[in-house]
Amino acid sequence: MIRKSDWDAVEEELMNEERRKLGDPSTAEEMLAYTRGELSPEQEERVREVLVCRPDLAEALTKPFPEDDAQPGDPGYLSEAELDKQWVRLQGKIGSNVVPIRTDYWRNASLALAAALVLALGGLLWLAQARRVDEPRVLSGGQLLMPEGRRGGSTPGPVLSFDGESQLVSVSVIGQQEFPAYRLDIVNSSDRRLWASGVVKPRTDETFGIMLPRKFLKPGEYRIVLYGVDGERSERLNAYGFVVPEQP
Amino acid sequence: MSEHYAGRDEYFESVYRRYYARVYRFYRSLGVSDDEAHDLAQDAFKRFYEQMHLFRGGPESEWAFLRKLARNVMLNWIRGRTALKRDVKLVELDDPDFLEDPPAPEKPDYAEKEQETLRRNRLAEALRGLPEGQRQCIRLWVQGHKYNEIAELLRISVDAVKSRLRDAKKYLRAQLGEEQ
Repeated sequence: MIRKSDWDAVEEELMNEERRKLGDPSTAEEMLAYTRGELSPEQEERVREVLVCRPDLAEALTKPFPEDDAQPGDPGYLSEAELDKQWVRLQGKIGSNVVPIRTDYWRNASLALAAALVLALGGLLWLAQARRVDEPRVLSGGQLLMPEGRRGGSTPGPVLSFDGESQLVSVSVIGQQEFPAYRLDIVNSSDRRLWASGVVKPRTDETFGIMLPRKFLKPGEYRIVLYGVDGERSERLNAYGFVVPEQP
Repeated sequence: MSEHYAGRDEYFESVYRRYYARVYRFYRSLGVSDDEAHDLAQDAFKRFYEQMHLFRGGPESEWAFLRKLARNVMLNWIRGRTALKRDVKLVELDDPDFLEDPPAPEKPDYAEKEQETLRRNRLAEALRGLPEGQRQCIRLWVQGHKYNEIAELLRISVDAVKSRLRDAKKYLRAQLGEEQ
């Protein structure tokens, strides 16, 4: 009975033999002409042989491009800061003085007019908000989240009762291993990180208060994961589950 | 360049912001290191910048144009790397293992080794006996490609791939004396 290792060994031998025979791999232009059917039958056959003995070229030719952008926490995710850094580098390469779009909007009169309207509306909204902030306001519905293991069973945690457009939740570090600082991540049910707090210290009552905007989280189960941070070291301490309900 | 955009540079930045991460991730998915993936993505966008006056059409064809350039960059990179490997002498004089004797191989099981050699010779001979088209199909299939990928690589139909694979497997079973 032929084994996989036999196939691999024979395949490797054939590949080496053919690579020696065929010489340099086809150029990108040749490969693309091949995919468009623009080569002679002899040239076409040579490219086929190259593709069979060069899995790296075959993969480069067939691998699909990612259609969606990665989200924070996904492999290969690039932050805005990284994109800005690469943009500056790219400008150096192309020898261009490309002005970033954000500072160049104002050349266009219609955009300026639209921006003026947005500013006026924004100002009105800000005034309305400022009046509300000036007055005392009771923050009702703040919810204390219990760490896993204290809730009993495997319940996903309390269902948040949103106070308007947001909900205040508290996470206590009492009873956790003490660290000079902490970090909090919000992860979804697939453990994908949606938000990270950066390095923070708890309030005097040894809790963290987190205001969760309703729009930030779709209905579903989530956890706030608490990490202890000591310099470069970071240790997962506990997780606090909660549920975002469907909007009424 | 698309006429929807007033300025060349603004347009280029908008393309960069929309697609750079995807192009970078494409290179990473091909096993390229982080630094090299950025270098390749930069090359792809540099080419786009140089050639964007040739481009006509909406966002769909713009992405198709950029994808083609990015793939081109990858194919040329592989070609360049192959040439480099061939030209450069790969002995590292500073390598601490360079002057040391290699570890002694494990004591071979000669009977098993002989069986293995026989099996491999029979397989190589059987593969060489296949018609070219069938051999190419079965080797790409063994390398892990799907039917549609084999069809794309060999520029034949998926039905032709299935038929060639069926014939190749039948021939190999007969030659190797296997039931399955």
